[in-house]
Amino acid sequence: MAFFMPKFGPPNYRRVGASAIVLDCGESTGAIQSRLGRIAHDGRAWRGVREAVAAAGNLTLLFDRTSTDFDTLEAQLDAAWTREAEDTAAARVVEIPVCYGGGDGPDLEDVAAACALACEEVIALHARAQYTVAFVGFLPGFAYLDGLDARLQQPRRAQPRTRVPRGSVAVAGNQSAIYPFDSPGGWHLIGRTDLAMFDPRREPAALLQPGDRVRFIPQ
Amino acid sequence: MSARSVRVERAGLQSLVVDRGRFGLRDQGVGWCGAMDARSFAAANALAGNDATAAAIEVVLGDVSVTFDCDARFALTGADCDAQLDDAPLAAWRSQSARAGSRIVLRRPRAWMRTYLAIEGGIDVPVVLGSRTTDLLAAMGGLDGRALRNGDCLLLGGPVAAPAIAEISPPRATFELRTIAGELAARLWQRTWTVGHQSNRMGYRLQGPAQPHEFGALRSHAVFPGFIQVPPSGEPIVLMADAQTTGGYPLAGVVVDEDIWMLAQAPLGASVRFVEAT
Repeated sequence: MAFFMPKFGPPNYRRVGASAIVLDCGESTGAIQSRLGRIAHDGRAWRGVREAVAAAGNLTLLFDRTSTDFDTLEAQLDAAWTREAEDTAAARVVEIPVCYGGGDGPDLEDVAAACALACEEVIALHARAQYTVAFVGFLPGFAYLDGLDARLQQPRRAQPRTRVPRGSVAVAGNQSAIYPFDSPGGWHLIGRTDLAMFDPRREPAALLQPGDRVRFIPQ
Repeated sequence: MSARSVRVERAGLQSLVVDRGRFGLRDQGVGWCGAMDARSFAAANALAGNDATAAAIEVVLGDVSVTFDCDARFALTGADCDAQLDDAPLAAWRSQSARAGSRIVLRRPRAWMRTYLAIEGGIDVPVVLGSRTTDLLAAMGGLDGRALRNGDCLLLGGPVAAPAIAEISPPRATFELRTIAGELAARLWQRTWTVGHQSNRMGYRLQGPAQPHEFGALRSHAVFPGFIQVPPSGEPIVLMADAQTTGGYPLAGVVVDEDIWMLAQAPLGASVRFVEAT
């Protein structure tokens, strides 16, 4: 039984290339992200679907043209969108231990200066918030976390780093994230965790899944 | 009886164990990886008598030598590296046999970028998340998640039946990429683009008569190999096998799957064109 009807309207559908269809909600609230995550989960089992990827307010199905088509998938997506309106599952909470600042978080002081806060306040604001995994993308196990305190929000670094160490805890825009591998990156690094964000021997391999709640625990 | 294996004496610039790719995990942020030139790769496996899912070696710009520890059928496809088997010229795109102890030498190719060496039984590295292919970003798959080094030993799967075909004609690379139009497609047509040096397995950066745009970044959406992204500079990036799973740039179009292999074979500095797919 649905106790409330979400306020957002029906999604738009867009066809990309010969074999990708995008469901676009036009915005990415927490309710939309969890709904998209559940539709992606269902969609993976549909005939001819090769990949189902939720991102920021949208969901893309890549399909095999020999076993399905745009019209069939659009109808399936539309039915799933209506069916998945209600979110009843209890979210899992994942705690991430973090060493803030120093060599682990080389941008902490710059972030504090840019936000006109003390370093301790940045840490407190980052660790006090509860985050929600909006989607996983960019790199294996890289989770985009919504819920960053408005006082910590700022654009990406003007000059991206060519190498961000694995485990780096970072902020940019209205999100936070943890780099699962050594990789290039443009977010501000404020701390580091030893937790493995991606492990191919684990099922699922990515530690954080869409809809999970995340808390950072200062060490 | 000797081990079914080959030894990599010279590993070259970036030789990788590849298969078709690691599929169905892009929602976990896992890219496909896999052979850049899927067409040459598939031909090599077929000529070695292997299953389409077997793993082979992808070589970039030749300069590789490999010695067999066992008798085995094999095939070379892709970039022509004036290959030799024990100092005798070796025809590519053809089913061949090597005796234990024989050595294949690849020189630098005069055209194209990537050569595939498929060996009977396939390269037997562990399957990680459904694939044997190397993912350099996540350091998984292939041989310890890395490019091959001098002295590496690669195990082979068991012998297989003789292939149904002995020879395949190499395809002709026109470097005209059939493309399905996206939002910014008007910027692609009737121009000649040059493959830039920052091109790699994740994406090919093209240089040419670009028009900068001010759309900035969009909300992140899923991207796939073949998608043509246009960053604010206006110079298109064609996503390739190792492409990231999400991106935020506007899309100029999508190169059809059947033509991506040509870009994988386009050397740095080569000219490519986009033509509208009908």
